[in-house]
Amino acid sequence: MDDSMDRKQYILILIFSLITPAFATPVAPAIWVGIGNTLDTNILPIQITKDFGALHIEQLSNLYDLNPGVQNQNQYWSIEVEQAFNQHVAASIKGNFSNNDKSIHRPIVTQEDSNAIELITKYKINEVSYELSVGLKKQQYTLDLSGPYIKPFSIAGYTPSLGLSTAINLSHDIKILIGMNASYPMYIYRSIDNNLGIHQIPDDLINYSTSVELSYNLNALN
Amino acid sequence: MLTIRSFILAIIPSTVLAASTTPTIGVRTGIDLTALTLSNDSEVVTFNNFFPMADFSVDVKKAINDNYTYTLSATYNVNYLNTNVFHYGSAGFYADYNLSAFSSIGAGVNILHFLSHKLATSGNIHTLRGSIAITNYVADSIYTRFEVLKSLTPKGYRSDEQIRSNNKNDVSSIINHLSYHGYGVNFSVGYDLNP
Repeated sequence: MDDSMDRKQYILILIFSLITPAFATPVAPAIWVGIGNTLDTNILPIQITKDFGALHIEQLSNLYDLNPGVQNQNQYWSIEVEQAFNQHVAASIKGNFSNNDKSIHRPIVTQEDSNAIELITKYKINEVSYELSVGLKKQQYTLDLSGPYIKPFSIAGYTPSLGLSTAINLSHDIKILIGMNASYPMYIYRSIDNNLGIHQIPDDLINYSTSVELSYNLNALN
Repeated sequence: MLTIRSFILAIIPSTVLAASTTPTIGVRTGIDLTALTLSNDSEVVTFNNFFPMADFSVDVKKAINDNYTYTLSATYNVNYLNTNVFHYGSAGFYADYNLSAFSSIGAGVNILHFLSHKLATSGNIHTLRGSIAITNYVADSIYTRFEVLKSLTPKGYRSDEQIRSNNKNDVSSIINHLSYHGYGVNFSVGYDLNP
């Protein structure tokens, strides 16, 4: 009990000490909205099975490369709240949201949705900001295996990520960000259709992605 | 057909003659990630287990005026696929817009060339890539460069003919008329030899 209280106090003090500088600084938070494009490998190490009952389980698909032979490309929009602590150091919280129709390009995946939240630390030298981020992404895929017993279905899962990026201010209100992101599928993907089994295949593969983003500072509207 | 030789022969004179100032030569090293999808008309082999590796670059930078700098850049890097070793070379030409005396953003084209690999005994694989890069001088002679690249080569474009490797351990399904598609990212720190 005492240990638990100590831990709670420690966490509260830590949060308070992290938040206090943000309120102490006279600089107002900056709110950025952006649009961007990502390229990734999109590896999904899962096996999909269907239980037909009476010990009859049929493997439907192994999905490693969701889009063989073609680069996986997604467009997204983002919103970011950034707090500068001084002329060099800043931190932000950012949300990335994408909803991409893949029916034209893909035989298996027809829709790919992603929502991610990132915590970012920044160090700025001249007009360029160097950014390190940790994030958590929820990905949802709609698949059409075109089997005789399978209707289109969705699977979803969570993926932690680590990012490194550089942003340059084209002006006070517009910036361009380019970056790379590494993510590792640690959470077992689940099927929204209960009749399907989704089994994560043990794998040490890391998904890498790149992004290019153009952002606008909403504070400029004031 | 645009080859690396003709590309370099066209770019170097125009870069050298474009301005009268002495070019600045910089050397860079950092990490490079090159994602691969190799295919021919019947096979697609996606190499998912690539990972960031060290790279080495030489930049020749020529200031045209206060606003623009042209850069000719050559990079070498290596990667592994199981027992196969891939050596890449790439050469690119970039136009950088200087936002200040220290920071610039540039765009360019870059040709990636597989210098050697065990997938074939002859021939080559290459691709044209588009690039966006941010360069920033953190000290007088030290700069950082962050670059993302994307293949621009049409999907149907095939490199020169490949000959199946005699090495039985190699990936035997990769045979003739290979096409490369992929993307890349590069983060490196450079030093100007003659600032």
